[in-house]
Amino acid sequence: MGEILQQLVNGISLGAIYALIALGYTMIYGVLRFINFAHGDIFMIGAFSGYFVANAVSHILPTGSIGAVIVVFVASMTICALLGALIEYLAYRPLRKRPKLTVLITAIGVSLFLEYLSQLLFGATPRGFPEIISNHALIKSKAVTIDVVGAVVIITSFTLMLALRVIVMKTKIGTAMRAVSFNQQAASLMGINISKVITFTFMTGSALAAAGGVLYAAQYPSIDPLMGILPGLKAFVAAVLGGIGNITGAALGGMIIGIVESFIGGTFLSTYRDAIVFAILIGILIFKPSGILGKNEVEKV
Amino acid sequence: MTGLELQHVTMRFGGLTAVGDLNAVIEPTGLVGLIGPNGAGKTTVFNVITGVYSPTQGDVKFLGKSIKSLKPNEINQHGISRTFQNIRLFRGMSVFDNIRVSYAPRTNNKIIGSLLRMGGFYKEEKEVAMKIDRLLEFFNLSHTRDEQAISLPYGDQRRVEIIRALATSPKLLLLDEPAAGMNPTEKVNLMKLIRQLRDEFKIAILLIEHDMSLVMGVCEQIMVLDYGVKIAEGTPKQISENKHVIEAYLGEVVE
Amino acid sequence: MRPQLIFALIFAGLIGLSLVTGKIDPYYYTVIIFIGINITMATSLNLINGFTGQFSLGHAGFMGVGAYVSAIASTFLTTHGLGTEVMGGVPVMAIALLVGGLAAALTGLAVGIPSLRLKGDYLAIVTLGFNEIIRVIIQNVDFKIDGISYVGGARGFAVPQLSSFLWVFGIALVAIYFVENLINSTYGRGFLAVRDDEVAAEAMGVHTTRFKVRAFVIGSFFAGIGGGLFAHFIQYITPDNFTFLKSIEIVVMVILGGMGSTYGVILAAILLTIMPEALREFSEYRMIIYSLMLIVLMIARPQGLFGSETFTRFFAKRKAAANKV
Repeated sequence: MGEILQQLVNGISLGAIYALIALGYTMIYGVLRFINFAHGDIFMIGAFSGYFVANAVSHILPTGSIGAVIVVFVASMTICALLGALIEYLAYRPLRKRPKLTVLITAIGVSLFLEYLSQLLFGATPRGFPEIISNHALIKSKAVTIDVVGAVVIITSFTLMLALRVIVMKTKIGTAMRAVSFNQQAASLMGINISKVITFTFMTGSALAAAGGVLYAAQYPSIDPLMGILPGLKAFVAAVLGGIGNITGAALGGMIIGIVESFIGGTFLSTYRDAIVFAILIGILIFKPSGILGKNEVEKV
Repeated sequence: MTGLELQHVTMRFGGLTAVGDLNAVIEPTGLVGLIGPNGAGKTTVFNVITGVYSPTQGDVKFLGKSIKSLKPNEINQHGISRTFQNIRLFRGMSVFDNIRVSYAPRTNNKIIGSLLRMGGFYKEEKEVAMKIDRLLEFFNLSHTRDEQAISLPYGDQRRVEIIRALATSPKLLLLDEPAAGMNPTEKVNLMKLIRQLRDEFKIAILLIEHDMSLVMGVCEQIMVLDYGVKIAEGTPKQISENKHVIEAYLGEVVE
Repeated sequence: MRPQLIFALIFAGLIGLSLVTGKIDPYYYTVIIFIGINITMATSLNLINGFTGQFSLGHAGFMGVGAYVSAIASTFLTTHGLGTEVMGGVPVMAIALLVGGLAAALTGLAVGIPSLRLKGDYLAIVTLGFNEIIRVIIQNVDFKIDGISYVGGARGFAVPQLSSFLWVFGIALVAIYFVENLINSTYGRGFLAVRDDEVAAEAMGVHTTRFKVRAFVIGSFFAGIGGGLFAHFIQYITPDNFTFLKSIEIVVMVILGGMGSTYGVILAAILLTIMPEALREFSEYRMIIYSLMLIVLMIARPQGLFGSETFTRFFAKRKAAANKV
């Protein structure tokens, strides 16, 4: 029983990070109808930004202090938001009217570019991530241990998801975003600046991925330029599982994938963990491509 | 035996009834026109017959057999072929190759024969080429044989589509607005051609057309759809005098 | 001139060339062998991605299946009396490659039937997923027969050296010959029809799913054989040889060569095998240049360097197909 509960807690904190990344996939898919393959690498850049910022400010703000944590988060989210907007502007915008697969291939190119540029700049060897959150057990009972980092991961993720929900549902730009994802042409006729909405979407999605990257690095404190590939792919699976284009679905999908992965990790199937996540993806795409919460898009022939 | 039989065919999309309780019969060498205002459900009828959609209710029978649950390619194999309202030629291919696709599912030399080029491969390829050339000649399009199909003038593209459909040796040919985009001379020629097709190939033809003079001039039987419901049926003369039809078209500019 | 004759002539030329390969510097020899293997890989993927228009990102998975299964076969045979001493190892290599190719083709069938219902980027992601699943499965397989280790999981698998210039380029020639013959036949026009317009193809009686699956199976068969050639050349394989990054590499060859142009794709395979070697001095910039090239290519010339405009057309058509009949 105790172990099950512990796996569940671990799963939720891992799932919360997947959810943060999945949100970016889903939002970008919502407005542009394409899979941003490079999203996992933004997550990686987020972790690296966190690493450098934490080290840079450590003279003024001691690592582990609240001030430092906030600076690290804000800085890395800002860096990635700008990077996201830049990538969209340079690589994807010229392809706006082009077929989806051209954009997908470009996204693969962007992904490789970010990975290998980081390898050149930061080196391929993993680096230890500074202990930005001083860790100790928060709750320690026979059944379950929750440490500070785990709690921060869960609380921060949920706060950010809630903030995103408010932005999407209550603000003007959020309404525009929903309009664009519903019908781009109509939205444009209603005077919505599509480019602005897309830029904003990339910025928000990338900022969330950056937060995910910092949280992931705080929990598993070893970062390297290829660290974004697998979490990125799994978060994509989460987005599809929840119903791509659906924000609540992405959060839900992230949780499910995190929990499933955590439980499999505790069994004899642990070496098959990644394969099982992909098997889930294939299963959904074949049997229920719209995902758990997605709408069925009727293909017009 | 009757050719095509539509029995109480109904096609709904969500709350919208595109075709409602349609009954129709097309004889084995019938030449029938399907007319109606825009959005009357004419193309939907084609899509139901050719298996693009499966009817919500009712049955489609061809030569006495129900074909409503068959896939489009199976329906084509049963002898129904079609053209498309918004021309769908294969963009990467020449005129010759566009028509050649129709023989792809009908060759004796499939993978192994094609890979190894044995077992009468060349003989069969020659036969296919001859058939295509004969069809091109019949349509006076021999000179376009090796051109990219989509680079041809609109009217020629429509005719290539008709050839492509004919190449599948259909017993029933569905033509979706074959005259759209043609000039008056081309239209007159097309009218002659359609009759000629029926007589030469001994097939039934069902055509959707907006051009009234063309429909009236060429078809022996006409069905009128409005809001998915058949409002009239008969010879051109009967239709032109039918009250319901005149009502349905009133205020509606017929292109 | 009939294709059989051209084929025979080139094959004779290859035999002639193979007599002098012993004099080539081993480093260049390795590059030349990789060119040959990549030609087979890219030509076979071109049948799926270029001619049939199905975007697969999992070709390395089938290559891996072929590599491992052929290596199992050759290891077993060489330790059971059918080694290099029998006719210079020709029978054992032939059997190993055939078994590897068939295993990859079967895997292709199993992967293709469910996934080919999907289109575009979803198909790409699912094939990528299968690629990773295959890799993870290989990583977890390890067994011994008569005290000899097979597969070896993540550790790797030692494979007898059986590849040669003639094998590699002979197979590449067969792959090119088959794909070209298939495509340039009446039957083969069905593949192009699926790529250009599925709705119209079906209306003309083409069983689109069947054509897609067949392209996939034939493509996987040659990917498997390519894997076998690779395994028996480098003599030590690990699951990491067959990640989706390898798949992407092959996809890039097909794109650069201009989706659906066999000769463009061959040229691209040669170019993209030589390029990393030429850039060895700048090896840390290699992948950066590579990825930038991909991005710039997509923006400036999506039809590839050597291809006609088929690529753009096919994608443009895809968009049009989303409209109504």
